[in-house]
Amino acid sequence: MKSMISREGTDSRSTRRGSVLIPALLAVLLTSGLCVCYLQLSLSKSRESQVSVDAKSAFYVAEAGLAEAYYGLARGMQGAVASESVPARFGNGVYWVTCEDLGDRVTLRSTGLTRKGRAAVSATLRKGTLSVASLGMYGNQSVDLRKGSRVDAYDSTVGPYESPKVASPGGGSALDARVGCNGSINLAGGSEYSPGATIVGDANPGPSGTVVIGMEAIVTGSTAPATQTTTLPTLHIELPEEEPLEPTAGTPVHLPAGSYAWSKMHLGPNSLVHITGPADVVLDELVLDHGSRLEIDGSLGAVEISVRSYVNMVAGSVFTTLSQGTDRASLLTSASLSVDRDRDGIADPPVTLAATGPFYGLIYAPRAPVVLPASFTVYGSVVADRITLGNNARLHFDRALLNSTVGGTLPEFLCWRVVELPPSRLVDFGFDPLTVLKVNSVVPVAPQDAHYVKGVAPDTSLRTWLAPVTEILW
Amino acid sequence: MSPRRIRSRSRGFTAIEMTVSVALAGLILGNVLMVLADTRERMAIQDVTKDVDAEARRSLDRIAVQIMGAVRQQLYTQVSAPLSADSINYTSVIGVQNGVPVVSPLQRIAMTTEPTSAVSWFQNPGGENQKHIVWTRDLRGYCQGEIPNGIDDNHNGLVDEKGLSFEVDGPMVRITLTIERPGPDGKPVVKALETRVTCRN
Repeated sequence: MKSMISREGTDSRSTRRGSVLIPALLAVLLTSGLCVCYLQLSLSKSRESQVSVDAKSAFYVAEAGLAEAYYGLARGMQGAVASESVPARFGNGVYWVTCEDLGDRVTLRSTGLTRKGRAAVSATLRKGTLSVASLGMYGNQSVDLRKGSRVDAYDSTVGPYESPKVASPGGGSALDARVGCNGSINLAGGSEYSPGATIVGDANPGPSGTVVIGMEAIVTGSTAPATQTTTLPTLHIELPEEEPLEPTAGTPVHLPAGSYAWSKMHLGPNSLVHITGPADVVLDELVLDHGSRLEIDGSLGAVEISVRSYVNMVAGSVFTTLSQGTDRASLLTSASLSVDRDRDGIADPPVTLAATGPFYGLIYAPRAPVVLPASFTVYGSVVADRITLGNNARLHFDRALLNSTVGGTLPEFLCWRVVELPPSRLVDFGFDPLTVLKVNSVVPVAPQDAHYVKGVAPDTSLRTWLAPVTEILW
Repeated sequence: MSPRRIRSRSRGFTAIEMTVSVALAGLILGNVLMVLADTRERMAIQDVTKDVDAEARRSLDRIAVQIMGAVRQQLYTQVSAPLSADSINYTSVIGVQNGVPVVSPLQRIAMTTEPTSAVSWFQNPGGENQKHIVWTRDLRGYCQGEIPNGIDDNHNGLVDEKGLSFEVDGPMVRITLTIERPGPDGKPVVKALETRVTCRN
């Protein structure tokens, strides 16, 4: 009996305890339901504002694409950047830029994608003109490289010049030199004991020109002809009526920063002229006799020497730069006529560069032939009507000059507008483009590596994206 | 102690117990309801604030992009600072033909008041083939902090500027926009935004 009472008492307590569960469960359900509702509401609001943020981000990414394309155009590239198949990465988004060449104008169309944001903007620009220094070694009529001569490249923004290893023909190099011509390019051959001419980089003749490569001569890069001729800008050198400058031997002349003009600068034996930049020197004639020295110090600013009629630097003279900045010194001459100036019965060429270097900078003689001897090594670029690189002579093209705008003009914006999104699977997918690319094993390229050089057709094919993205995301 | 007495004592609650428990339960429930109501009201206000903010930003972005694409020489308002203009006329580039930009017909972004204050976009305003699209409603009559008294109340250099105002300064345009919507508590929720854009064309 005792045990029965005890059981009854236990049953009663357990019944009472269980009944609490029901209201507790209801309360929990109610609270959970409310929480879920608020959470969903909050999420939908957050999503809505995220879409707005994404749209704005995509707009800025597209704008970044246009800016990159502009930079490319200014550097002489095509203007197209990356492609829909392999876009360029920018922050949390990607972009690609297509270009339509309209002769002297170009229309760029940039598509930017970030998360769910999509935007496309377009700009039409008038093409700029490049600095002649970016042409590298360029001859209007012809380029001749004699035995043992060599043209290669370096990048002064990375470091000083180091002799590159010559790769096998067609192998190419990360630091290709640029040799070009509106006519033909001739590389003299060598023999078993003496090497032929060497170009570590591209040699691109004019549209109807050819590259003649002798035995043992080497061109490591492209020899494809250019699609169009290049017009060299004309030099107009205005010279006021001035006295000549003829320093006396043994008395150095130091020209501080400023602008100077003389009818003639004639440096006799043992005379020295030192020019400190920034300076502009305008002359009608520049003559350096044997034993004279003309120094350019561009460490504080660029020095530009413009000569109208005659440049004569004989063997044994020194014409050199003290700084290694290739954008800090330039010799520009409009000389074109061969005249017998020393009255020996033989016409003197308009430009003679037989001096000793080295010279860091630009030599520009659009109407005269230029012969560079082995003693006059040039770091930078040489552009002339005809160029001959003498036996064992060296020219080291500075690829930093590819970005030079000195003497050139930048592309000019004509119009800008927001345009419709292009037909593209990547655009149509509502997913984060970086995820879509990752799923499809595509690594977006860096913008600076995504430019197209002129003459190369950009990849305009629309990719048929694989679409297991949904399965992965959801 | 008999078993019957034990059972009867274990059943039910006393009146005091019930009173205390009901009072406590009521107190807790009341508090919960108060918190819920307060939260709901706050959420509602927050929602309206977010909505107004999003609408203001979206509208301002839309206006800004239009002005960015406008042709600088053909962009004008009826008045200049310190008087504020509630409309701006412009043309924009709609395409390129043979390398030459093609310009659109005249367009106008303006504050309209019928039936309610709104940001409206017009193409060929006043013409026979006029197009009119309302971009956003809930535009405030005057800019935040501004009342129509001939004084620059909010010290932004403009006098009595409207809920939508433009100030043209060369190629740059200052746009101010004020959106207002009544909140759940009856108080207006206001969002004022300002931006400066430069015409690209």
